[in-house]
Amino acid sequence: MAITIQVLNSILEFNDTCASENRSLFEKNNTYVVNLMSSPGAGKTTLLEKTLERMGPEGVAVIEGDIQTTRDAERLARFKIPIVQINTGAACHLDGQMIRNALKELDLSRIRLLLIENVGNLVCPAEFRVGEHAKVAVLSVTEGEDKPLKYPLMFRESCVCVLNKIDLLPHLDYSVDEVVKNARQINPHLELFPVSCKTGEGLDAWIHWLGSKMSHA
Amino acid sequence: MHEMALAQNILDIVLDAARRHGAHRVRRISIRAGRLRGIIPEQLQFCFGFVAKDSIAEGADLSVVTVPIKARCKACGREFLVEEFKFICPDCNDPHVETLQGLELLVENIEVV
Repeated sequence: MAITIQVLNSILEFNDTCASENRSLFEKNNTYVVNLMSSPGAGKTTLLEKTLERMGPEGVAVIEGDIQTTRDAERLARFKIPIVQINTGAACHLDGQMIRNALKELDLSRIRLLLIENVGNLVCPAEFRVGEHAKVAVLSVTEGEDKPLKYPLMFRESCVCVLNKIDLLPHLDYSVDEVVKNARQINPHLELFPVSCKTGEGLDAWIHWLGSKMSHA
Repeated sequence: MHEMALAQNILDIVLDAARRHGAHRVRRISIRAGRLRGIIPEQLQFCFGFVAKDSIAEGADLSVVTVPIKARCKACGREFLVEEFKFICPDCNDPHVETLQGLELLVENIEVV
C-alpha cells in the first residue's frame, strides 16, 4: 500500500548551505564579494580590467567562471592579483560548492574585494547564491531595452546593473530611459550605471559604488 | 533552466527520505516551485527520469505545483498576485514591494511503497 511521506526539503538546500558557509568566511575576513553576471559578450571581463586599472590591484582577487578556456584569467593576469579560474565543463552557472572549492586557493585574509565573474548566462547564475554580498548584472546597450522584463529573476536579485557600451548609442535605436523604466519595474531598488568600458565614460560612478561598499564591509 | 542540476538534488533528497522510512520504491514526488524560479515541469521530469535510472525512484512521477508570485506593498500593506512580473502595488502604485511567495523550490512529499 502506498504511503505519503512529508519531506519539505529545499531543493537548493545544499547549495544554500555552501553559500552561507562561504559568506561566513567572507565576513570573518572582511572580504566584500561581488557576483558579476551577464549574457556572453556584455563586457564583464572588460569591466573587470577597467575596474582593476582604476582601483589598483591591492587587496583584490578574482574568481573566473567559464565553461571552457582560461582566456579571461589570462586577460587579467597582467594585474598580478590572485586569480582562480573555474572551468565548469558543462554547467551553465557557478554554484556555492564551486566557489567553496575555489576559496581553498585564496588567502582571504589579504583580500578586501573578491570579484566573481560568473558564466555568461542571463538565466541560471541568478538562481544560485554563492555567498556574495552583491549580485551585479552587466547589460550592454546592444541587447535591447526589454531584457530586464525577459529575465526578471536576474534583475530582481541584482542590486546594481552596469549598462555597458554606451559609446555605441549614436549607432542604435536605443532608449536608456526605457531600459531604466523596465528594470525599475522589476526591481525599484536597482542602481543603474550607464558606462562605456571603451571610452571610460561613467566608470567613476561604478568605482565609487564599489569603494563605498568595501569600506562598509 | 538547469533542470539537470535540480533533478540530481531532488533525487538525493528523495532517496534519503525513502531510505529513512524503509521504502522499496518511490512512485510519486510532489514539488513546489515558485514562478520566479522559471522551472519547466516537463524538462524537470525528463531530467529526473535520466538521473533516477537504476534507483528506487526510477519511473517515479514528478508532480510540479507552480506557485504564483505574491507580494506585499510596503507602503499600504496590500497583498497581491504579481502579474507579468510587475512588482508595483495595484492600489497605490508604489514599487516598493516585498516578495511573499514565488521563490519556493522544494520537495514537498513523496509517495512510496
